[in-house]
Amino acid sequence: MSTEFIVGWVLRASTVGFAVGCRVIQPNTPHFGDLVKVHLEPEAIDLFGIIYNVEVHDDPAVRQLILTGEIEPEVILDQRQNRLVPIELSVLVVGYQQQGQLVQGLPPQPPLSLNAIMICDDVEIRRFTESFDYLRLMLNAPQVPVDELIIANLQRAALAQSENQRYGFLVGAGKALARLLHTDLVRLEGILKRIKN
Amino acid sequence: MTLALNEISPQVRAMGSSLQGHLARRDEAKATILALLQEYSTAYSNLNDRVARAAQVQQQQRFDWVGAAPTNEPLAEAIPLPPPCDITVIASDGSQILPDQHAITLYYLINVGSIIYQHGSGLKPVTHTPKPVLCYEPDDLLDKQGRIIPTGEVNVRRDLAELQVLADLAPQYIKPDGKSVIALMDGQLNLRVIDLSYQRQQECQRAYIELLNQLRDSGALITAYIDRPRSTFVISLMQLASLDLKAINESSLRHNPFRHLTDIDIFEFLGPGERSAMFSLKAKGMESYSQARQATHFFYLNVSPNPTWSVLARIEIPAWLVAHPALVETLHATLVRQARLAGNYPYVLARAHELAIISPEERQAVEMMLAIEMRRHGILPHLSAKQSNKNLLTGRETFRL
Repeated sequence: MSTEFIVGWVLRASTVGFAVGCRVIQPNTPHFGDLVKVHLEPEAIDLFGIIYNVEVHDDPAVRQLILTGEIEPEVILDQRQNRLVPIELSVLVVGYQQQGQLVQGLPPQPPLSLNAIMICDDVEIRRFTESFDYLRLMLNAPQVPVDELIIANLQRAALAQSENQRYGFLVGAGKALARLLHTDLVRLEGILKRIKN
Repeated sequence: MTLALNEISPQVRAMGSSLQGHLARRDEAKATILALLQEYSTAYSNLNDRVARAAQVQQQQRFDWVGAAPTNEPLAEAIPLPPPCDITVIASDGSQILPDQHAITLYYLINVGSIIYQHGSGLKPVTHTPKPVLCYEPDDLLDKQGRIIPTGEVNVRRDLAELQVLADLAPQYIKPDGKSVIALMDGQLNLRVIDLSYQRQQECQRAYIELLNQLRDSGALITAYIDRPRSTFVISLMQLASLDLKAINESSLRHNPFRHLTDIDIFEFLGPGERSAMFSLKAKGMESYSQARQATHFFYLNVSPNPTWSVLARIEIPAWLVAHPALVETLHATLVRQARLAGNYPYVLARAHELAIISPEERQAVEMMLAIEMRRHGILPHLSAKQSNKNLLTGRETFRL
Protein backbone atom coordinates (compact mmCIF):
# COMPACT_ATOMS: atom_id res chain seq x y z
CA MET A 1 0.00 0.00 0.00
CA SER A 2 1.52 3.33 -1.04
CA THR A 3 0.29 6.22 1.05
CA GLU A 4 3.01 8.72 0.17
CA PHE A 5 1.40 12.09 -0.24
CA ILE A 6 1.99 15.55 1.14
CA VAL A 7 -0.05 16.16 4.26
CA GLY A 8 1.23 19.63 5.05
CA TRP A 9 4.20 21.95 5.23
CA VAL A 10 6.54 22.86 8.06
CA LEU A 11 5.51 26.00 9.92
CA ARG A 12 8.30 26.07 12.51
CA ALA A 13 10.88 23.56 13.60
CA SER A 14 13.60 22.63 16.03
CA THR A 15 15.87 19.60 16.22
CA VAL A 16 13.46 17.75 18.51
CA GLY A 17 10.21 18.50 16.75
CA PHE A 18 8.28 20.59 14.32
CA ALA A 19 4.84 22.00 13.63
CA VAL A 20 3.05 21.36 10.35
CA GLY A 21 0.30 23.44 8.79
CA CYS A 22 -2.29 21.70 6.68
CA ARG A 23 -5.48 22.76 4.99
CA VAL A 24 -8.02 20.36 6.35
CA ILE A 25 -8.40 17.05 8.14
CA GLN A 26 -9.22 14.51 5.42
CA PRO A 27 -10.14 10.89 6.13
CA ASN A 28 -6.72 9.82 4.85
CA THR A 29 -4.62 12.50 6.53
CA PRO A 30 -2.35 11.25 9.31
CA HIS A 31 -3.59 10.46 12.76
CA PHE A 32 -2.17 10.78 16.23
CA GLY A 33 0.74 8.32 16.47
CA ASP A 34 1.42 8.05 12.72
CA LEU A 35 4.98 8.06 11.36
CA VAL A 36 5.71 10.90 8.94
CA LYS A 37 8.83 12.01 7.10
CA VAL A 38 10.40 15.16 5.64
CA HIS A 39 12.99 15.07 2.92
CA LEU A 40 15.74 17.67 3.26
CA GLU A 41 17.63 18.84 0.19
CA PRO A 42 20.48 19.20 -0.63
CA GLU A 43 21.65 17.22 2.41
CA ALA A 44 19.61 14.22 1.21
CA ILE A 45 18.37 13.51 4.73
CA ASP A 46 14.98 12.00 5.51
CA LEU A 47 13.72 13.03 8.94
CA PHE A 48 11.20 10.76 10.68
CA GLY A 49 8.72 11.94 13.26
CA ILE A 50 5.56 10.89 15.05
CA ILE A 51 2.46 13.07 15.18
CA TYR A 52 1.63 13.75 18.81
CA ASN A 53 -0.98 16.48 18.49
CA VAL A 54 -3.55 17.67 15.97
CA GLU A 55 -4.95 21.08 16.72
CA VAL A 56 -7.74 23.00 15.00
CA HIS A 57 -7.16 26.66 15.74
CA ASP A 58 -9.74 29.20 16.64
CA ASP A 59 -11.46 30.92 13.70
CA PRO A 60 -13.79 33.87 14.42
CA ALA A 61 -15.77 33.21 11.23
CA VAL A 62 -16.57 29.68 12.35
CA ARG A 63 -17.62 30.95 15.79
CA GLN A 64 -20.03 33.33 14.07
CA LEU A 65 -21.51 30.48 12.00
CA ILE A 66 -22.00 28.39 15.13
CA LEU A 67 -23.82 31.25 16.83
CA THR A 68 -26.31 31.61 13.97
CA GLY A 69 -27.34 27.99 14.38
CA GLU A 70 -28.46 27.70 10.73
CA ILE A 71 -25.60 25.80 9.15
CA GLU A 72 -26.35 24.42 5.69
CA PRO A 73 -24.33 21.49 4.28
CA GLU A 74 -22.93 23.80 1.59
CA VAL A 75 -21.53 26.09 4.28
CA ILE A 76 -19.79 23.18 6.00
CA LEU A 77 -18.23 22.09 2.70
CA ASP A 78 -17.15 25.64 1.96
CA GLN A 79 -15.58 26.08 5.38
CA ARG A 80 -13.81 22.74 5.35
CA GLN A 81 -12.65 22.57 1.75
CA ASN A 82 -12.35 26.12 0.44
CA ARG A 83 -11.23 28.14 3.43
CA LEU A 84 -7.80 27.90 4.95
CA VAL A 85 -8.87 26.15 8.12
CA PRO A 86 -5.89 26.57 10.42
CA ILE A 87 -5.01 23.01 11.33
CA GLU A 88 -1.66 22.35 12.95
CA LEU A 89 0.03 18.99 13.49
CA SER A 90 2.82 18.69 16.08
CA VAL A 91 5.52 16.15 15.28
CA LEU A 92 8.13 14.64 17.57
CA VAL A 93 11.38 13.84 15.74
CA VAL A 94 12.45 10.22 16.35
CA GLY A 95 15.07 9.51 13.70
CA TYR A 96 16.60 10.21 10.34
CA GLN A 97 18.12 8.47 7.37
CA GLN A 98 21.27 9.65 5.64
CA GLN A 99 23.18 7.83 2.90
CA GLY A 100 20.99 4.79 3.39
CA GLN A 101 21.74 4.53 7.10
CA LEU A 102 18.77 4.76 9.47
CA VAL A 103 19.43 6.33 12.87
CA GLN A 104 16.92 6.40 15.72
CA GLY A 105 18.02 9.63 17.37
CA LEU A 106 18.02 13.37 16.79
CA PRO A 107 19.04 14.60 13.33
CA PRO A 108 21.95 16.97 12.62
CA GLN A 109 19.55 19.73 11.61
CA PRO A 110 15.83 20.47 11.69
CA PRO A 111 13.62 20.91 8.62
CA LEU A 112 13.03 24.38 7.21
CA SER A 113 9.74 26.20 6.88
CA LEU A 114 7.65 24.97 3.97
CA ASN A 115 9.41 21.60 3.74
CA ALA A 116 6.73 19.11 2.72
CA ILE A 117 5.61 16.43 5.18
CA MET A 118 4.69 13.01 3.86
CA ILE A 119 3.05 10.11 5.60
CA CYS A 120 5.22 6.96 5.68
CA ASP A 121 3.99 3.91 3.86
CA ASP A 122 3.96 0.39 5.32
CA VAL A 123 7.40 -0.47 3.93
CA GLU A 124 8.93 2.57 5.60
CA ILE A 125 7.09 1.87 8.85
CA ARG A 126 8.35 -1.74 8.89
CA ARG A 127 11.88 -0.61 8.15
CA PHE A 128 11.84 2.12 10.81
CA THR A 129 10.40 -0.15 13.51
CA GLU A 130 12.97 -2.90 13.01
CA SER A 131 14.54 -1.30 16.08
CA PHE A 132 12.74 0.17 19.09
CA ASP A 133 15.43 2.64 20.17
CA TYR A 134 13.11 5.48 19.21
CA LEU A 135 10.86 4.57 22.16
CA ARG A 136 13.50 6.03 24.48
CA LEU A 137 13.25 9.39 22.70
CA MET A 138 9.50 9.27 23.06
CA LEU A 139 9.63 8.41 26.76
CA ASN A 140 11.93 11.40 27.36
CA ALA A 141 9.85 13.88 25.38
CA PRO A 142 8.48 16.72 27.50
CA GLN A 143 4.90 17.98 27.18
CA VAL A 144 3.83 15.03 25.05
CA PRO A 145 1.15 12.48 26.03
CA VAL A 146 3.86 9.82 25.88
CA ASP A 147 2.00 6.69 26.95
CA GLU A 148 -0.94 7.29 24.63
CA LEU A 149 1.46 8.18 21.83
CA ILE A 150 3.47 4.97 22.23
CA ILE A 151 0.27 2.90 22.24
CA ALA A 152 -1.10 4.59 19.13
CA ASN A 153 2.22 4.36 17.32
CA LEU A 154 2.81 0.69 18.07
CA GLN A 155 -0.75 -0.24 17.12
CA ARG A 156 -0.35 1.57 13.80
CA ALA A 157 3.10 -0.02 13.24
CA ALA A 158 1.67 -3.47 14.01
CA LEU A 159 -0.92 -2.99 11.25
CA ALA A 160 1.94 -2.42 8.80
CA GLN A 161 3.28 -5.92 9.58
CA SER A 162 1.98 -9.00 7.85
CA GLU A 163 -0.64 -10.79 9.91
CA ASN A 164 1.63 -13.65 10.98
CA GLN A 165 4.33 -11.24 12.14
CA ARG A 166 2.09 -8.84 14.02
CA TYR A 167 2.13 -10.69 17.36
CA GLY A 168 5.91 -11.13 17.29
CA PHE A 169 6.30 -7.43 16.52
CA LEU A 170 4.22 -6.43 19.55
CA VAL A 171 6.10 -8.86 21.81
CA GLY A 172 9.38 -7.30 20.66
CA ALA A 173 8.02 -3.83 21.37
CA GLY A 174 6.81 -4.96 24.79
CA LYS A 175 10.27 -6.29 25.67
CA ALA A 176 11.87 -3.01 24.63
CA LEU A 177 9.42 -1.09 26.80
CA ALA A 178 10.05 -3.43 29.72
CA ARG A 179 13.76 -2.57 29.57
CA LEU A 180 13.05 1.16 29.42
CA LEU A 181 10.35 1.19 32.11
CA HIS A 182 11.72 -1.42 34.52
CA THR A 183 11.57 1.16 37.34
CA ASP A 184 7.91 2.00 36.69
CA LEU A 185 6.02 -1.27 36.49
CA VAL A 186 2.57 0.25 36.93
CA ARG A 187 3.09 2.46 33.92
CA LEU A 188 4.58 -0.41 31.92
CA GLU A 189 1.59 -2.61 32.71
CA GLY A 190 -0.80 0.12 31.56
CA ILE A 191 0.93 0.46 28.20
CA LEU A 192 1.30 -3.30 27.62
CA LYS A 193 -2.37 -3.96 28.36
CA ARG A 194 -3.42 -1.38 25.80
CA ILE A 195 -0.98 -2.58 23.11
CA LYS A 196 -2.29 -6.13 23.47
CA ASN A 197 -5.82 -4.93 22.76
CA MET B 1 0.65 56.66 23.36
CA THR B 2 0.24 60.42 22.95
CA LEU B 3 -3.53 60.65 22.88
CA ALA B 4 -4.59 62.42 26.08
CA LEU B 5 -7.36 60.06 27.15
CA ASN B 6 -7.93 62.05 30.33
CA GLU B 7 -8.83 65.05 28.14
CA ILE B 8 -11.25 62.98 26.10
CA SER B 9 -13.02 61.43 29.04
CA PRO B 10 -15.23 64.46 29.92
CA GLN B 11 -16.01 64.90 26.20
CA VAL B 12 -17.13 61.28 26.02
CA ARG B 13 -19.48 61.89 28.95
CA ALA B 14 -20.87 64.97 27.18
CA MET B 15 -21.32 62.91 24.04
CA GLY B 16 -23.37 60.34 25.96
CA SER B 17 -25.73 63.06 27.21
CA SER B 18 -25.98 64.53 23.72
CA LEU B 19 -26.86 61.13 22.22
CA GLN B 20 -29.66 60.81 24.76
CA GLY B 21 -30.97 64.23 23.69
CA HIS B 22 -30.86 63.22 20.03
CA LEU B 23 -32.94 60.15 20.80
CA ALA B 24 -35.80 62.28 22.09
CA ARG B 25 -35.69 64.51 18.98
CA ARG B 26 -35.41 61.45 16.77
CA ASP B 27 -38.50 59.84 18.31
CA GLU B 28 -40.53 62.96 17.78
CA ALA B 29 -39.50 63.30 14.13
CA LYS B 30 -40.03 59.58 13.58
CA ALA B 31 -43.61 59.77 14.84
CA THR B 32 -44.32 62.57 12.34
CA ILE B 33 -42.75 60.65 9.46
CA LEU B 34 -44.61 57.43 10.30
CA ALA B 35 -47.90 59.33 10.36
CA LEU B 36 -47.08 60.77 6.92
CA LEU B 37 -46.14 57.30 5.65
CA GLN B 38 -49.57 56.02 6.72
CA GLU B 39 -51.40 59.02 5.32
CA TYR B 40 -49.67 58.87 1.93
CA SER B 41 -49.31 55.09 1.83
CA THR B 42 -51.30 54.75 -1.41
CA ALA B 43 -51.30 58.38 -2.58
CA TYR B 44 -48.99 57.48 -5.45
CA SER B 45 -50.10 60.15 -7.88
CA ASN B 46 -50.01 62.90 -5.25
CA LEU B 47 -46.49 61.90 -4.26
CA ASN B 48 -45.34 61.54 -7.86
CA ASP B 49 -46.51 65.11 -8.55
CA ARG B 50 -44.34 66.29 -5.70
CA VAL B 51 -41.35 64.27 -6.88
CA ALA B 52 -41.79 65.79 -10.36
CA ARG B 53 -41.90 69.24 -8.78
CA ALA B 54 -38.67 68.54 -6.83
CA ALA B 55 -37.06 67.37 -10.08
CA GLN B 56 -38.13 70.60 -11.74
CA VAL B 57 -36.66 72.65 -8.91
CA GLN B 58 -33.35 70.92 -9.14
CA GLN B 59 -33.34 71.36 -12.90
CA GLN B 60 -33.99 75.10 -12.63
CA GLN B 61 -31.74 75.78 -9.69
CA ARG B 62 -28.93 73.34 -10.52
CA PHE B 63 -29.64 71.82 -7.16
CA ASP B 64 -29.27 68.11 -6.40
CA TRP B 65 -32.33 66.50 -4.88
CA VAL B 66 -32.01 62.80 -4.19
CA GLY B 67 -35.03 60.89 -3.02
CA ALA B 68 -37.48 58.07 -3.55
CA ALA B 69 -40.63 57.80 -5.61
CA PRO B 70 -43.39 55.28 -4.90
CA THR B 71 -44.05 52.32 -7.19
CA ASN B 72 -47.30 50.41 -6.89
CA GLU B 73 -46.84 49.02 -3.37
CA PRO B 74 -48.37 50.72 -0.31
CA LEU B 75 -45.60 52.65 1.42
CA ALA B 76 -46.54 51.63 4.94
CA GLU B 77 -46.84 47.95 4.10
CA ALA B 78 -44.58 45.26 5.54
CA ILE B 79 -44.26 42.44 3.02
CA PRO B 80 -43.83 39.07 4.76
CA LEU B 81 -40.96 36.66 4.15
CA PRO B 82 -41.77 34.29 1.27
CA PRO B 83 -40.94 30.58 1.64
CA PRO B 84 -37.32 29.67 0.82
CA CYS B 85 -36.37 28.30 -2.56
CA ASP B 86 -33.22 26.63 -3.85
CA ILE B 87 -31.38 28.96 -6.17
CA THR B 88 -27.76 29.69 -7.04
CA VAL B 89 -26.24 32.88 -5.64
CA ILE B 90 -23.06 34.35 -7.09
CA ALA B 91 -21.35 37.15 -5.21
CA SER B 92 -18.30 39.19 -6.01
CA ASP B 93 -16.31 41.76 -4.11
CA GLY B 94 -13.10 43.60 -4.78
CA SER B 95 -10.26 45.33 -3.01
CA GLN B 96 -7.38 47.47 -4.12
CA ILE B 97 -4.01 48.93 -3.31
CA LEU B 98 -4.27 52.60 -4.23
CA PRO B 99 -1.47 54.52 -5.90
CA ASP B 100 0.70 56.08 -3.22
CA GLN B 101 3.22 58.78 -4.00
CA HIS B 102 5.15 57.84 -0.83
CA ALA B 103 5.56 54.17 -1.80
CA ILE B 104 8.66 52.77 -3.52
CA THR B 105 7.02 53.24 -6.91
CA LEU B 106 3.69 54.28 -8.34
CA TYR B 107 1.30 51.44 -9.03
CA TYR B 108 -2.12 50.18 -8.11
CA LEU B 109 -3.56 46.72 -7.82
CA ILE B 110 -7.09 45.37 -8.06
CA ASN B 111 -8.13 42.01 -6.69
CA VAL B 112 -11.60 40.47 -7.05
CA GLY B 113 -12.99 37.47 -5.22
CA SER B 114 -16.21 35.64 -5.98
CA ILE B 115 -18.14 32.61 -4.81
CA ILE B 116 -20.93 30.52 -6.28
CA TYR B 117 -23.28 29.03 -3.70
CA GLN B 118 -25.91 26.58 -4.95
CA HIS B 119 -28.62 26.36 -2.30
CA GLY B 120 -29.96 22.88 -1.70
CA SER B 121 -27.40 21.23 -3.99
CA GLY B 122 -25.26 19.64 -1.29
CA LEU B 123 -22.30 20.77 -3.40
CA LYS B 124 -19.23 22.57 -2.18
CA PRO B 125 -19.50 26.27 -3.11
CA VAL B 126 -17.13 27.20 -5.92
CA THR B 127 -14.68 30.00 -5.30
CA HIS B 128 -13.30 32.01 -8.17
CA THR B 129 -10.51 34.56 -7.96
CA PRO B 130 -9.58 36.06 -11.31
CA LYS B 131 -5.98 37.07 -11.88
CA PRO B 132 -5.20 40.21 -9.83
CA VAL B 133 -4.44 43.21 -12.04
CA LEU B 134 -1.30 45.23 -11.39
CA CYS B 135 -1.35 48.61 -13.14
CA TYR B 136 1.93 50.47 -13.51
CA GLU B 137 2.08 52.20 -16.91
CA PRO B 138 2.01 56.02 -16.83
CA ASP B 139 -1.25 56.01 -18.79
CA ASP B 140 -2.82 53.89 -16.02
CA LEU B 141 -1.55 56.11 -13.24
CA LEU B 142 -1.59 59.68 -14.49
CA ASP B 143 -4.27 61.88 -15.97
CA LYS B 144 -3.63 64.01 -19.05
CA GLN B 145 -2.14 66.79 -16.92
CA GLY B 146 0.28 64.36 -15.28
CA ARG B 147 -1.52 64.21 -11.93
CA ILE B 148 -1.97 60.91 -10.13
CA ILE B 149 -5.43 59.55 -10.93
CA PRO B 150 -8.02 60.12 -8.20
CA THR B 151 -9.01 57.35 -5.79
CA GLY B 152 -12.41 57.36 -7.46
CA GLU B 153 -10.86 56.20 -10.74
CA VAL B 154 -9.38 53.09 -9.09
CA ASN B 155 -12.66 52.45 -7.30
CA VAL B 156 -14.55 52.66 -10.59
CA ARG B 157 -12.15 50.18 -12.22
CA ARG B 158 -12.58 47.86 -9.26
CA ASP B 159 -16.39 48.12 -9.48
CA LEU B 160 -16.23 47.34 -13.18
CA ALA B 161 -14.00 44.32 -12.47
CA GLU B 162 -16.46 43.06 -9.81
CA LEU B 163 -19.38 43.34 -12.21
CA GLN B 164 -17.37 41.77 -15.04
CA VAL B 165 -16.83 38.67 -12.89
CA LEU B 166 -20.57 38.38 -12.25
CA ALA B 167 -21.30 38.82 -15.96
CA ASP B 168 -18.76 36.12 -16.82
CA LEU B 169 -19.92 33.60 -14.23
CA ALA B 170 -23.70 33.99 -14.21
CA PRO B 171 -24.41 32.43 -17.64
CA GLN B 172 -22.44 29.32 -16.62
CA TYR B 173 -24.84 28.65 -13.75
CA ILE B 174 -28.19 29.34 -15.35
CA LYS B 175 -29.95 25.97 -15.28
CA PRO B 176 -31.17 24.39 -18.54
CA ASP B 177 -34.71 24.62 -17.16
CA GLY B 178 -34.24 28.41 -17.13
CA LYS B 179 -33.94 28.63 -13.35
CA SER B 180 -32.19 31.86 -12.67
CA VAL B 181 -29.24 32.85 -10.51
CA ILE B 182 -28.84 35.80 -8.21
CA ALA B 183 -25.79 37.95 -8.96
CA LEU B 184 -25.06 39.79 -5.73
CA MET B 185 -22.79 42.74 -5.23
CA ASP B 186 -21.81 44.72 -2.18
CA GLY B 187 -22.76 48.41 -2.26
CA GLN B 188 -24.98 50.42 -4.53
CA LEU B 189 -26.25 49.23 -7.91
CA ASN B 190 -25.23 52.24 -9.97
CA LEU B 191 -21.61 53.11 -10.58
CA ARG B 192 -20.25 55.88 -8.39
CA VAL B 193 -18.45 58.15 -10.86
CA ILE B 194 -18.65 61.48 -9.08
CA ASP B 195 -14.87 61.99 -8.81
CA LEU B 196 -14.28 61.55 -12.54
CA SER B 197 -14.30 63.97 -15.46
CA TYR B 198 -17.59 64.20 -17.38
CA GLN B 199 -16.15 62.32 -20.36
CA ARG B 200 -14.73 59.58 -18.18
CA GLN B 201 -18.05 59.32 -16.30
CA GLN B 202 -19.83 58.71 -19.59
CA GLU B 203 -17.30 56.09 -20.72
CA CYS B 204 -17.41 54.18 -17.45
CA GLN B 205 -21.18 54.32 -17.16
CA ARG B 206 -21.56 52.99 -20.68
CA ALA B 207 -19.27 50.05 -19.90
CA TYR B 208 -21.06 49.41 -16.62
CA ILE B 209 -24.55 49.51 -18.11
CA GLU B 210 -23.37 47.18 -20.87
CA LEU B 211 -22.37 44.65 -18.18
CA LEU B 212 -25.73 45.12 -16.41
CA ASN B 213 -27.43 44.45 -19.74
CA GLN B 214 -25.37 41.30 -20.25
CA LEU B 215 -26.47 40.06 -16.82
CA ARG B 216 -30.10 40.87 -17.55
CA ASP B 217 -29.95 39.14 -20.93
CA SER B 218 -28.39 36.04 -19.36
CA GLY B 219 -31.32 35.89 -16.91
CA ALA B 220 -29.31 36.73 -13.79
CA LEU B 221 -31.06 38.68 -11.05
CA ILE B 222 -28.56 41.45 -10.39
CA THR B 223 -28.89 42.74 -6.84
CA ALA B 224 -26.92 45.17 -4.71
CA TYR B 225 -26.84 44.86 -0.94
CA ILE B 226 -26.15 47.83 1.32
CA ASP B 227 -25.75 46.96 4.97
CA ARG B 228 -26.71 49.56 7.59
CA PRO B 229 -27.47 52.24 5.00
CA ARG B 230 -27.53 55.89 6.00
CA SER B 231 -29.70 56.83 3.04
CA THR B 232 -32.58 59.27 3.47
CA PHE B 233 -34.43 58.69 0.19
CA VAL B 234 -37.78 57.87 1.80
CA ILE B 235 -37.28 60.63 4.38
CA SER B 236 -36.88 63.05 1.46
CA LEU B 237 -40.08 61.72 -0.09
CA MET B 238 -41.93 62.22 3.20
CA GLN B 239 -40.55 65.72 3.44
CA LEU B 240 -42.17 66.40 0.07
CA ALA B 241 -45.39 64.90 1.44
CA SER B 242 -45.25 67.33 4.35
CA LEU B 243 -45.03 70.34 2.00
CA ASP B 244 -47.66 71.99 -0.15
CA LEU B 245 -46.90 71.44 -3.81
CA LYS B 246 -46.25 75.16 -4.27
CA ALA B 247 -43.98 75.25 -1.23
CA ILE B 248 -41.54 72.83 -2.85
CA ASN B 249 -38.65 75.05 -3.80
CA GLU B 250 -34.91 75.19 -3.41
CA SER B 251 -35.13 76.74 0.03
CA SER B 252 -37.56 74.15 1.44
CA LEU B 253 -35.63 71.27 -0.14
CA ARG B 254 -32.36 72.51 1.28
CA HIS B 255 -33.72 72.53 4.85
CA ASN B 256 -34.92 69.09 5.79
CA PRO B 257 -36.58 69.16 9.24
CA PHE B 258 -36.14 65.37 9.45
CA ARG B 259 -32.38 65.42 8.92
CA HIS B 260 -31.81 63.64 12.25
CA LEU B 261 -33.43 60.53 10.78
CA THR B 262 -32.35 57.99 8.21
CA ASP B 263 -34.63 55.65 6.29
CA ILE B 264 -33.83 52.72 8.53
CA ASP B 265 -35.28 54.63 11.47
CA ILE B 266 -38.61 54.59 9.66
CA PHE B 267 -38.51 50.94 8.73
CA GLU B 268 -37.75 49.63 12.18
CA PHE B 269 -41.39 48.49 12.12
CA LEU B 270 -40.47 45.67 9.73
CA GLY B 271 -40.65 42.30 11.46
CA PRO B 272 -38.12 39.47 11.05
CA GLY B 273 -37.65 38.71 7.35
CA GLU B 274 -40.12 41.38 6.21
CA ARG B 275 -39.39 43.89 3.49
CA SER B 276 -40.67 47.37 2.82
CA ALA B 277 -42.50 48.55 -0.24
CA MET B 278 -40.51 48.97 -3.43
CA PHE B 279 -39.35 52.50 -4.28
CA SER B 280 -37.59 53.96 -7.25
CA LEU B 281 -34.53 56.11 -6.74
CA LYS B 282 -34.70 59.65 -8.07
CA ALA B 283 -31.42 61.42 -8.64
CA LYS B 284 -29.55 63.34 -11.28
CA GLY B 285 -27.46 61.42 -13.78
CA MET B 286 -29.64 58.29 -13.88
CA GLU B 287 -30.99 58.85 -17.40
CA SER B 288 -28.72 56.32 -19.12
CA TYR B 289 -29.72 53.68 -16.55
CA SER B 290 -33.42 54.45 -17.12
CA GLN B 291 -33.05 54.16 -20.88
CA ALA B 292 -31.58 50.67 -20.44
CA ARG B 293 -34.35 49.66 -17.97
CA GLN B 294 -31.63 49.52 -15.32
CA ALA B 295 -32.85 52.43 -13.16
CA THR B 296 -32.28 51.72 -9.50
CA HIS B 297 -35.23 50.56 -7.40
CA PHE B 298 -34.91 49.59 -3.80
CA PHE B 299 -36.56 48.22 -0.72
CA TYR B 300 -35.51 47.85 2.89
CA LEU B 301 -35.18 44.36 4.31
CA ASN B 302 -35.04 43.23 7.92
CA VAL B 303 -32.76 40.19 7.79
CA SER B 304 -32.77 39.62 11.55
CA PRO B 305 -34.51 36.53 12.96
CA ASN B 306 -34.90 38.36 16.28
CA PRO B 307 -38.27 40.13 16.77
CA THR B 308 -36.73 42.58 19.25
CA TRP B 309 -33.69 43.58 17.20
CA SER B 310 -34.00 44.55 13.55
CA VAL B 311 -31.07 44.51 11.14
CA LEU B 312 -31.96 46.51 8.06
CA ALA B 313 -30.30 46.49 4.68
CA ARG B 314 -31.18 48.41 1.54
CA ILE B 315 -31.59 46.13 -1.46
CA GLU B 316 -31.21 47.71 -4.88
CA ILE B 317 -32.44 46.06 -8.06
CA PRO B 318 -32.89 47.32 -11.63
CA ALA B 319 -36.23 48.44 -13.06
CA TRP B 320 -36.63 45.41 -15.35
CA LEU B 321 -36.53 43.08 -12.35
CA VAL B 322 -39.20 45.03 -10.47
CA ALA B 323 -41.60 44.06 -13.23
CA HIS B 324 -41.33 40.38 -12.16
CA PRO B 325 -42.92 40.03 -8.70
CA ALA B 326 -42.15 36.28 -8.51
CA LEU B 327 -38.45 36.97 -9.02
CA VAL B 328 -38.54 39.72 -6.38
CA GLU B 329 -40.07 37.15 -4.00
CA THR B 330 -37.26 34.70 -4.78
CA LEU B 331 -34.73 37.41 -4.15
CA HIS B 332 -36.38 38.45 -0.89
CA ALA B 333 -36.45 34.89 0.47
CA THR B 334 -32.90 34.10 -0.63
CA LEU B 335 -31.31 37.24 0.79
CA VAL B 336 -32.84 36.55 4.20
CA ARG B 337 -31.70 32.92 4.00
CA GLN B 338 -28.18 34.00 3.07
CA ALA B 339 -28.03 36.63 5.80
CA ARG B 340 -29.15 34.18 8.44
CA LEU B 341 -26.34 31.82 7.56
CA ALA B 342 -23.66 34.28 8.56
CA GLY B 343 -25.14 36.45 11.30
CA ASN B 344 -27.33 39.03 9.57
CA TYR B 345 -25.13 39.56 6.51
CA PRO B 346 -25.17 37.44 3.31
CA TYR B 347 -22.76 34.55 3.66
CA VAL B 348 -21.64 34.85 0.05
CA LEU B 349 -20.77 38.52 0.41
CA ALA B 350 -18.74 37.83 3.53
CA ARG B 351 -16.86 35.07 1.71
CA ALA B 352 -16.35 37.12 -1.47
CA HIS B 353 -14.87 39.86 0.69
CA GLU B 354 -12.61 37.35 2.39
CA LEU B 355 -11.40 36.15 -1.02
CA ALA B 356 -10.82 39.66 -2.33
CA ILE B 357 -9.27 41.43 0.60
CA ILE B 358 -5.59 42.36 0.33
CA SER B 359 -4.11 42.04 3.82
CA PRO B 360 -1.31 44.34 5.02
CA GLU B 361 1.03 41.31 4.90
CA GLU B 362 0.06 40.61 1.28
CA ARG B 363 0.59 44.24 0.38
CA GLN B 364 4.00 44.10 2.00
CA ALA B 365 4.79 40.94 0.00
CA VAL B 366 3.79 42.66 -3.26
CA GLU B 367 6.00 45.62 -2.44
CA MET B 368 8.87 43.33 -1.56
CA MET B 369 8.52 41.65 -4.97
CA LEU B 370 8.45 45.06 -6.64
CA ALA B 371 11.54 46.17 -4.72
CA ILE B 372 13.46 43.07 -5.79
CA GLU B 373 12.43 43.56 -9.41
CA MET B 374 13.45 47.22 -9.32
CA ARG B 375 16.86 46.26 -7.92
CA ARG B 376 17.25 43.69 -10.67
CA HIS B 377 16.86 46.50 -13.19
CA GLY B 378 19.26 48.82 -11.40
CA ILE B 379 16.55 51.02 -9.89
CA LEU B 380 16.86 51.92 -6.24
CA PRO B 381 13.57 51.32 -4.43
CA HIS B 382 13.03 53.82 -1.68
CA LEU B 383 10.11 55.15 0.26
CA SER B 384 9.56 58.87 0.63
CA ALA B 385 11.28 60.45 3.63
CA LYS B 386 7.85 61.03 5.14
CA GLN B 387 6.84 57.37 4.84
CA SER B 388 10.21 56.14 6.11
CA ASN B 389 9.89 58.29 9.20
CA LYS B 390 6.31 57.24 9.75
CA ASN B 391 7.34 53.59 9.55
CA LEU B 392 10.18 54.11 11.97
CA LEU B 393 8.03 55.97 14.46
CA THR B 394 5.17 53.50 14.30
CA GLY B 395 7.48 50.49 14.54
CA ARG B 396 6.84 49.14 11.05
CA GLU B 397 9.68 47.60 9.15
CA THR B 398 11.11 49.26 6.08
CA PHE B 399 12.73 47.55 3.14
CA ARG B 400 16.19 46.37 4.00
CA LEU B 401 17.40 45.45 0.56
